[in-house]
Amino acid sequence: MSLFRDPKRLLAVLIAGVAGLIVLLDFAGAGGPLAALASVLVEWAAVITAVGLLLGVLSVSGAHLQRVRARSADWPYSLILIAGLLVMIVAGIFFPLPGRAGIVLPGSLAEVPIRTVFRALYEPIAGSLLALLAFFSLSAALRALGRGSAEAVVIVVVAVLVLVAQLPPVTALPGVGATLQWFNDYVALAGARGLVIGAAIGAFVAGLRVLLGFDTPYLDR
Amino acid sequence: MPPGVNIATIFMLLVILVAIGLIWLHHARALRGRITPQRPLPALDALRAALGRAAETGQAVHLSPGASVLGASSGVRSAATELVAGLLLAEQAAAQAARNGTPILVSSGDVVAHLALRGGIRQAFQQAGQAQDFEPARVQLLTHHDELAYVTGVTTLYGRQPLEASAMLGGFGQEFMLVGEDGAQRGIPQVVGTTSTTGLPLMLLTTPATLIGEEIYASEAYLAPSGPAQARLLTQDVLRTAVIVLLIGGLVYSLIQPYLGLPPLPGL
Repeated sequence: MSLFRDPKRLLAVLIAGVAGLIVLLDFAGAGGPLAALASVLVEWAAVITAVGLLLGVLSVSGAHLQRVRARSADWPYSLILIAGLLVMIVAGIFFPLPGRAGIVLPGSLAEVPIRTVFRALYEPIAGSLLALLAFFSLSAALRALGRGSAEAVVIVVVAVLVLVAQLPPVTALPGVGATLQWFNDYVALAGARGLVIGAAIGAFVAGLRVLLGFDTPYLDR
Repeated sequence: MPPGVNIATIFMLLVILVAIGLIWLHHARALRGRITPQRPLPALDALRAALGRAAETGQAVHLSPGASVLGASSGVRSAATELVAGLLLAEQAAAQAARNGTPILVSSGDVVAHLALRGGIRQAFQQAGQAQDFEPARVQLLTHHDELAYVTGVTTLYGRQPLEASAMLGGFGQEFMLVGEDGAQRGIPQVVGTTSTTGLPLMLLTTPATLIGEEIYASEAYLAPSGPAQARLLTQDVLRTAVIVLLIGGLVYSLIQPYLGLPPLPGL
């Protein structure tokens, strides 16, 4: 259906397009009232995201409570997730802290309770998962070599060469460092720039199409 | 001239105006059916085949728009458009799934994207006349603004039920290895894509069905049955050609400039 015959869709596209245009013009340095308007729009976006986050928390909690109630597979993990959610909410919002006028509640995410929970729980878990990357990479490399995919073989061979070249005895050899630097500065950088340029063009067209209303991923029609 | 506006800003606005003109022009061409033949993208053929197989096997196809967030809060502006590309592909794939009767399972790592996904996928089922088949519980928010937690959530989904395939297009970094390798070990066919130089090599290691860089922006147009969605391919091709011509022209100019006494290119 044509955009002009669908007033609901036309209104949503106009709101999104005009809002995006205002922010774009502010980015281009228009200044004046547009800058103030763009600032308000960005603040509204932050507020909408915060409300969306609240909806997301309710959605996740509801889904996992349902799994616990129904004793679905792995329901104890859902219980742990809900417990973790409650611990973080209490630590970040309701944990009483000593203040000058008595007991105060945490004022930001930089307060001690939530920082302590992050340091004690989240950081070790995240570190462990990241440490697994090395083993997963090795497994993936062996699997890729077995598959015989040309791109994967090139990636593995280059990775092995770069790893070997990092060894101190190899680095000490004449010409190795300069050769690696040359590959990095010209071959690798050229490839990365080509990738980035192509992606930037795609991102540019995608963004403009959303502004103009040709693509409306935000629209619940 | 207003403060903050300089030649570079004016040039940028001119480029945007030209691009807007091209988008309108190509949309009109696509509506008239004047679309250039597309080079094949084997990764998307694999996704199309998986959507067809899943209708027979009854196993769900997992769709993911990536682990990035809308906005530049992650420090990478392009991550938002990667997420938009992933959203568009997920909605297009959901439309095909609704027509085929294929079960889908959608996950997201951003609350705003989650809300957009629920609306878009519900609408896809409604337009296919299968509104009764839409299950909100099948569109799951796993986390918000935490790529590591998101991929571990996806690995949980992999372990919970057998999947026909998994399509993950969007913003992925090194954390992709956790979910990519887990999926490969479970034998789940994966169709993946990103523009990140960190994530791409890991994707190529785990699955041959990888969309590289700008191909993720073309993916929705490849899956869409109608012409207007393919207008984006025309615009991307023209802009890419223009950039290539500029690069080659700049190279030739910089080579002959010292010999002919020409002024150097600005910025060099």
